[in-house]
Amino acid sequence: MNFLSEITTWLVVVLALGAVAGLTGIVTSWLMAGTRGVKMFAGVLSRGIKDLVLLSPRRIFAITSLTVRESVRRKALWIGAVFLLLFMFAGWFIGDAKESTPAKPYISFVMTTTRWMLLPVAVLLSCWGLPADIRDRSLHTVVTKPVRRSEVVLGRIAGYVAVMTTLLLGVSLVGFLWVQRVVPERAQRQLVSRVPIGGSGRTVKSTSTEELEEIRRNVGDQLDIRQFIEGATTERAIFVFDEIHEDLFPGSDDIRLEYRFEAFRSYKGDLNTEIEFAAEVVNEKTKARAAIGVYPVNEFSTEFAHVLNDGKEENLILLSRKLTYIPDGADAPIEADLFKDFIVDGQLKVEIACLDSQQYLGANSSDLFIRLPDRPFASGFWKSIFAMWLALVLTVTIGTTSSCFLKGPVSTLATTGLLVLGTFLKTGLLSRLNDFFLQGQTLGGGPVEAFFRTIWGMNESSPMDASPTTAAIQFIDGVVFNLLNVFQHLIPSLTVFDGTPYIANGFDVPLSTCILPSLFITIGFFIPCYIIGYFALQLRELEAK
Amino acid sequence: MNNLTSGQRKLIYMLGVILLLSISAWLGMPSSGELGTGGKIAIKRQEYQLGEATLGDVDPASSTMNLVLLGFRGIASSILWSEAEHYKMHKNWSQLQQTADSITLLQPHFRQVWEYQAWNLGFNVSAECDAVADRYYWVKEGAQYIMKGTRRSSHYPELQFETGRFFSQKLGKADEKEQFRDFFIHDPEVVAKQSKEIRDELQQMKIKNPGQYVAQNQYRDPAVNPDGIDNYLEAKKWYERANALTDRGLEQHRMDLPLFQAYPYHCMIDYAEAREQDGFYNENDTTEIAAWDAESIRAWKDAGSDWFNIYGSKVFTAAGTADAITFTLAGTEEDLNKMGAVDGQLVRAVNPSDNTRSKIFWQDRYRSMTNFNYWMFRTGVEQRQKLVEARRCFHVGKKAFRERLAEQEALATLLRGCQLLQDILNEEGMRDETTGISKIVLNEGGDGFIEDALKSLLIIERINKGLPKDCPLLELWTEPDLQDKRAELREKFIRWAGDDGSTPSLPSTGGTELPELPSIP
Repeated sequence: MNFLSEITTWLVVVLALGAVAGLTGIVTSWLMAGTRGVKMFAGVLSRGIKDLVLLSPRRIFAITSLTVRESVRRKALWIGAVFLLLFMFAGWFIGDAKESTPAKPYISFVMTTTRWMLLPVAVLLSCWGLPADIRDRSLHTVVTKPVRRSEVVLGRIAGYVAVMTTLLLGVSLVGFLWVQRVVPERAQRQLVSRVPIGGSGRTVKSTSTEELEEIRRNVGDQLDIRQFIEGATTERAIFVFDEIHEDLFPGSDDIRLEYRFEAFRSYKGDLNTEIEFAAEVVNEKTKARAAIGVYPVNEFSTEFAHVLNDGKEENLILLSRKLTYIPDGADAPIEADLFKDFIVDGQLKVEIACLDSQQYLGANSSDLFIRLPDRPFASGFWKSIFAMWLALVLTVTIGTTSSCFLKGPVSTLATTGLLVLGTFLKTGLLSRLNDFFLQGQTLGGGPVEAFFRTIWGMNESSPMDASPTTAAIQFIDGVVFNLLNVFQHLIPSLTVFDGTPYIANGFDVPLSTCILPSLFITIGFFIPCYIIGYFALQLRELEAK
Repeated sequence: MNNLTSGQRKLIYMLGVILLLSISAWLGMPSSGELGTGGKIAIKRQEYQLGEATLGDVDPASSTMNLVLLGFRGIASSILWSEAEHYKMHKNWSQLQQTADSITLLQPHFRQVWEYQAWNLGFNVSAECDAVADRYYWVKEGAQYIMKGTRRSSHYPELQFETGRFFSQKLGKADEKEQFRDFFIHDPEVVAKQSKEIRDELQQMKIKNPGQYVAQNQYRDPAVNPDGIDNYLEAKKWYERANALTDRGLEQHRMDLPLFQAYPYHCMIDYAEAREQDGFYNENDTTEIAAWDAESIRAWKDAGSDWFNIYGSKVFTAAGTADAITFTLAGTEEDLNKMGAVDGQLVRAVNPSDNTRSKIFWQDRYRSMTNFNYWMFRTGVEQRQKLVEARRCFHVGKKAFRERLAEQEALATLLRGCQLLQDILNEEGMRDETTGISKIVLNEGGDGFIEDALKSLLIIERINKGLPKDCPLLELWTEPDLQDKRAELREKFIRWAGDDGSTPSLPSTGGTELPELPSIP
């Protein structure tokens, strides 16, 4: 993620929204009261800036504690009891627990249950609090006190966040202990936070001119996740790791590489032997090559907990610092140092070749990574919980803001809608927009074309006639796509906040792709939401129910 | 009504309450568990087997989920189904398995879910793994999944039948059958949990004392093989359970009933054949070989006896006939006459127009459909010592060629096997009277010992650089019906043994004389 460009986009969106809001305010007030209206607008704006900046922590704390007390009175903490009850009987719902069951389903269960039990509570608490206060007129007792509306908004958000934090801490602690207890003994080794250094990978074939030709070969998978190289040919999967320095591996003689390749047999062959591959480390400048070893593909080995004997670890390649290789033209092997002789400008290059003739090895960039010393499972788990906490903060912020100008049910619908869009639909939307803006078309077209195809019973790949109707449809769809491209910035990407895929697969939750983006998205939404919430509450007629 | 006093109204309400309670009790009184007890609804529930307990084991998690979801379990299971497809597409097998489990918690009596997802795990996921032990693990998962289905929905013969198919066809007919059958007795997971000494000992035993190795059934996985028996014998138990359900009148929707009910008896035949192909005996120990032969003959005898005496005595009803003609497959005309005397049905038609109303007509038809006569003939042939010996020669000769590269020994043994089989095929009654082709070739195509014989001929051809002119079983080499099978086996053979550059030869054009051979041990 390019943070600079993301922050620039955020600034542009916020300023554009501010400009639209300001312009609408000026025009409306001028139309209603002429120049006096414009002056009034300026007054509201200057008061707003003061209110937004000059805050009293004491008053915010008072509203926060009021909000917490009110939430407790509304039995929000009961969700914790429901959660405990669920966990007491969780084993029932996970299926038949066996000693070979991997840790993944247990971890996913805890994280998914926690997320989907707490998010609705956050929505309901934050969306119904203010409207209920306005309806019961209890907000009057607050606003008649010397308290700024901005402090009301902030206090409300802080109060709900405090409640949700308490719930999250309790629930996640139970979940953490539960996972430790129920994961079968054989799968306990999967309760770990591996720290990978990923590289860039590509599948190539060397041609007669010694040039490398990219290979794009699918062996019939529905998803084009991996490219397959043929065994006993010049085809290779090449992985390049950057910024590899000795200080990354203090006190270790070996660098651990971990792989997860796929195999595809074009014929059954020797069933008792797995498809094998050879790994080599290559110096790009001197063209020196040192063999690392030959390994079985060990396909899908983490999908159930194998019995491992003699302290073996699965899918590990140990790359020793001391290597031997035969230089070009020499007869005898010589010794070499990995860091001095094979890592050039911090770059480590590893080549993988499938050894079995007419059999195939599938690889993609993430299939080979350097495994730094592991961290405890708690590291990944609590980072993932932190990301979930940020999601709750974001939900509470959006919910509280919308409740400043909407009634409870409408606010709930709006917030839920935004969450659903951000969790399930934004990835698909971005993929469609990407297709439209980069390739000029999307499969099945935009909304109008899709509607047209539905009515006329055309499937999404049938070509449209070259007619004025089609041109009109595509023009309207183009406008819609441009609008969607602008408005997609208002939908938070909630998939980023989900650390489950990392910890369920035994990885630490990375700062760069999970924690920091989640933090920035939360802050990015919090600032405009706070401003909008303040002005909405400031301008709202509190007498109206 | 308005003129009624308060007391009168209360009395009417009271009477109404009593009336409604009485109706409610008459309808809804719970059953004591015995047949015919309880209210009307309880009796009907028992009669039509609609109660949760009559459909199979009651799972509290399943019941809880269904109660909690109110009427939304259909939607929930559809979402789960789509999730399962997502996991399958992304090759996330453990999550797929968990989701498949969740679907059956919601819909435990939906037969197709059990069948489909068990197939997914046991066939589709299994095929994705490269290591045979991993493939076997997923086959077991699929089998256990559908076994759970048989407990939760015990009224479907198809689920019992499908479980049988897992053990017989998936384990016994797959490309990995050699390993799968071994794993069924020596489960890789169970063996891996043993100490290194035990694992080494087992490995040595497999090579040096195969007879003893096969008896080490304490390394089975009791979840799929509780009795430590052969996969075909385990499959037979499940097929018999399916048959027991159909005997109780429960319908199956797979195939015609006589075909459906033949499966346990086919398992016996498959078991007898498979153990001969396995050949777990020490080739140099004549006592062990004699014991193995005796056991093989006994297995074929049991198979033949079960086929004729048990399966052949079952009373079937011809499908689609208005008169519900009944017959047995093994019954003589005299037996059918006895049946006819009881049920009043025609035994042999006098006029051609009555043909379809006669027991003999339907018996012939179903004998042909189930290949009844052939299997009777086949199990009889297989009990001969000569054929058992021929099969052993094929097995030992192939092993000598593959494992010890002892070409001359392999050639001698295989030629002897071919000669023994040729002698049997030349015996009276072994050929079809009209075509002159061996009855076994006509019925089996290239399977069974004909496949073993073809493989042996391929090895003989390789070692001898062409088939000898007077090589036995040349008829299999020229039989047009076996052309595809020969091509398929040749391709596999070249992949297995490598291509020596020679082209397929026919003795009539390029064959050599039968070579001098060492004596058979």
